Amino acid sequence: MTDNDVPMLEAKNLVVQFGSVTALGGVSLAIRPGRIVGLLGPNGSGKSTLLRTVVGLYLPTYGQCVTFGRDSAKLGPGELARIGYVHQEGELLEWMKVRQLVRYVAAYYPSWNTNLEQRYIREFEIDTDARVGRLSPGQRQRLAILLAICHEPELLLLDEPAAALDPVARGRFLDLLLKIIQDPRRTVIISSHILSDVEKVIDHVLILEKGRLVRDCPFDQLQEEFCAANLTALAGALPERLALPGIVECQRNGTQARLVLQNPDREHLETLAAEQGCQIEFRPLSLEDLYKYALTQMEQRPR
Amino acid sequence: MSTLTANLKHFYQRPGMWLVYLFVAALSLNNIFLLDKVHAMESIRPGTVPLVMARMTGWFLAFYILVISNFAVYAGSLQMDILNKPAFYILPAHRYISRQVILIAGIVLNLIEAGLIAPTLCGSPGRFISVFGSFFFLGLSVYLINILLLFYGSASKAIPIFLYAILFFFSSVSNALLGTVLHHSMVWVVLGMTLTVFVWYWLGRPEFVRGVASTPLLSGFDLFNKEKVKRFKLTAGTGTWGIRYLTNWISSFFLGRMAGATPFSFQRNVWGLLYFYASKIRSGMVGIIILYIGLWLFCLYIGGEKVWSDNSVVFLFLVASFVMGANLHIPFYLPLPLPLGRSWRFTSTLAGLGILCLLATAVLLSVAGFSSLLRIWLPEITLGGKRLVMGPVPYLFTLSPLILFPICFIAETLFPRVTLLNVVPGFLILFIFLVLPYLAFGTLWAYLFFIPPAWGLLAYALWWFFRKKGLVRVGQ
Repeated sequence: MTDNDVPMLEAKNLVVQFGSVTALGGVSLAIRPGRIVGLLGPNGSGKSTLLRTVVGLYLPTYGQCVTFGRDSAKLGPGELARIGYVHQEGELLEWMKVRQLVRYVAAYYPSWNTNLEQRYIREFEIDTDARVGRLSPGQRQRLAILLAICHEPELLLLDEPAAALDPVARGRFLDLLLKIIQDPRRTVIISSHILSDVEKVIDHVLILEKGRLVRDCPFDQLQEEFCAANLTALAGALPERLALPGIVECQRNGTQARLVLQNPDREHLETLAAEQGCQIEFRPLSLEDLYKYALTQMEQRPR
Repeated sequence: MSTLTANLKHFYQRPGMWLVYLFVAALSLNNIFLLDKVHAMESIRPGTVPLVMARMTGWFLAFYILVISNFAVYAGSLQMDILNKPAFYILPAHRYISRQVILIAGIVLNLIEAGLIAPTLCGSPGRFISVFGSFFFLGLSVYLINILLLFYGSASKAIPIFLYAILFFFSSVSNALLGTVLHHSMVWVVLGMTLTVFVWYWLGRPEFVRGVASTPLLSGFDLFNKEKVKRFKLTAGTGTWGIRYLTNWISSFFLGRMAGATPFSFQRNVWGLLYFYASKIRSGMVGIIILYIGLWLFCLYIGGEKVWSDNSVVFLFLVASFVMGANLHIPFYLPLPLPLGRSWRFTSTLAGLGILCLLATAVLLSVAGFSSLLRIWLPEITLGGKRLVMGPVPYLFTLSPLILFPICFIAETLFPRVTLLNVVPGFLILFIFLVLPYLAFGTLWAYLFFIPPAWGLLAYALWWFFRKKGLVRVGQ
């Protein structure tokens, strides 16, 4: 068994409850090193709870959560120093100057990379003399990202990292993320509502809904599962009934139809389309659409 | 439903207002009991009022004003909370309804309060109208001044406190004021009406409403909301209520110690925690510490040698220590994801709290030493036939943080999210562990026996918390 076969984090039937509210209801997953995972789901689906349980901030009510081979509740400084975590609230020690906060956090990490720190301070245009409490939400978010990455963590957890960033800062953050993921040993879990950003970097998808993991698959697999297609009638109007398998959605307009197909067998579909006097052209769906259709399919599936 | 009705409904829809009504009712009842004394004063020629009675009549007016001021702060806060939301600024006709609501509430309250007072104080039916009118307009003036202060700015909120102190402690001032209320009604009628017109105009100015909508304000209801106070402090800057920042050399001191310690070491974690507390002490506790030391020295002079046998003074000092401890707050929910496991958090927190407690004890020891020196130099004073002599602080008292701080910390561990809940049980425990043994044994030595179990309990409570509880504030 190689290092890459050993999960970096693993959850087995993980249940997290707050009183009568079940935030996570029996989540099981295993994430191997080097993965760039998109953690998707609507508000309140349990994404932040999952990430917080991974670092030991929340404790499982039932089940198990193991990070770096150790029960997440018992993670010590050694393991935690291998994790970088940007949390949704972007809360920091408000009374410090940025420089003081960076020094304060750096003191906790033996692997703190000062060169990296200086580079990101320049790239992110962070004013190190400013009081943290006086920073705008976007500046705070940039600072939180800097604090999470300068110790070069093996596991980077990003909980809505770009939510408060303006388009320019978001672009820079994406560039940074693309650099970060160059390290093949680094695992990144990114939870975000801005799916157009996420899809550029992820190779694996986790979709949570109401505390349950509804999808856990490689991004490619999800892209193969759903695709869009333009169906054009070669002569006259489209047939009244389209005899094509796996149609999830269909928008017709005279001689053309825009389809969303599930589990498409492209060659077979092209043959069927030709038999019906049509031409079919496939194109990939955006992550936003993939997410929408994956969720819709899950809701329609009998439980 | 009209806009005015919708706004008036807040007076019963907001749960916090019911506590205000309870407070107003209790103080109004207290005023009715004090009425007898004021009535007695009415029948005595000015200048012949006995001292005790004069103090009681002074209290009457101070309490009367306190009732109205308190109500004004919360009635104003109801409107402030609404006007302060930019989203409500655009509601049609909404911005000008506040002054109507504020004025209606003030008129209703003062009709009730004056109605309770006037029948007893008027003496004869012929004087009812003038006494009623006088109290009504006095109350309305106080109410409107408080409304103005509430919206004007945080620093000005200290003014009423200063005035209450004068009324409570200087009976002659409050009795003179009461004399004008009882005998010169027109003064108060004119003042009240002028203020009403002024406030009506002032609250209706477009720039006022625009200003309130765009300025961070802290209403009376927010004082127990830790998160809101914190956000307010951040946005209010470094003013009266703003956050105080550590000077660079203090930061450098702690950061230097942290950087010098081995990573993942106990020392580094403890230095980190002490750095965190240094900011808290700078932000909120300097005032408390100065007040505490001032209180000690003041009581030492007033009480002299006898002060330490006076239970109420003993309790006062214990409460002051307790308040200091309760204000420290344990950093259960770190705003930064630092590499500290739960076990490390437990040990470094316990050690950090222990160091803080020892530091507080050292400060008190210094105060005790200072008071011993003062005793040599400060003269004996005779005031009104009463001999005032400086008494030194018994060194036994300086150990009080060793038991009071862990009591506060245990209460906070059990109720980490609710400010009031961690104070109330703390007071009970304080009473059981300290006051009762003192009353039973007549000495404070007994409390030293409770120090080891208190720290043992704290260690257990912290261990339980860091092993079993979530380390993120619920709701985030």
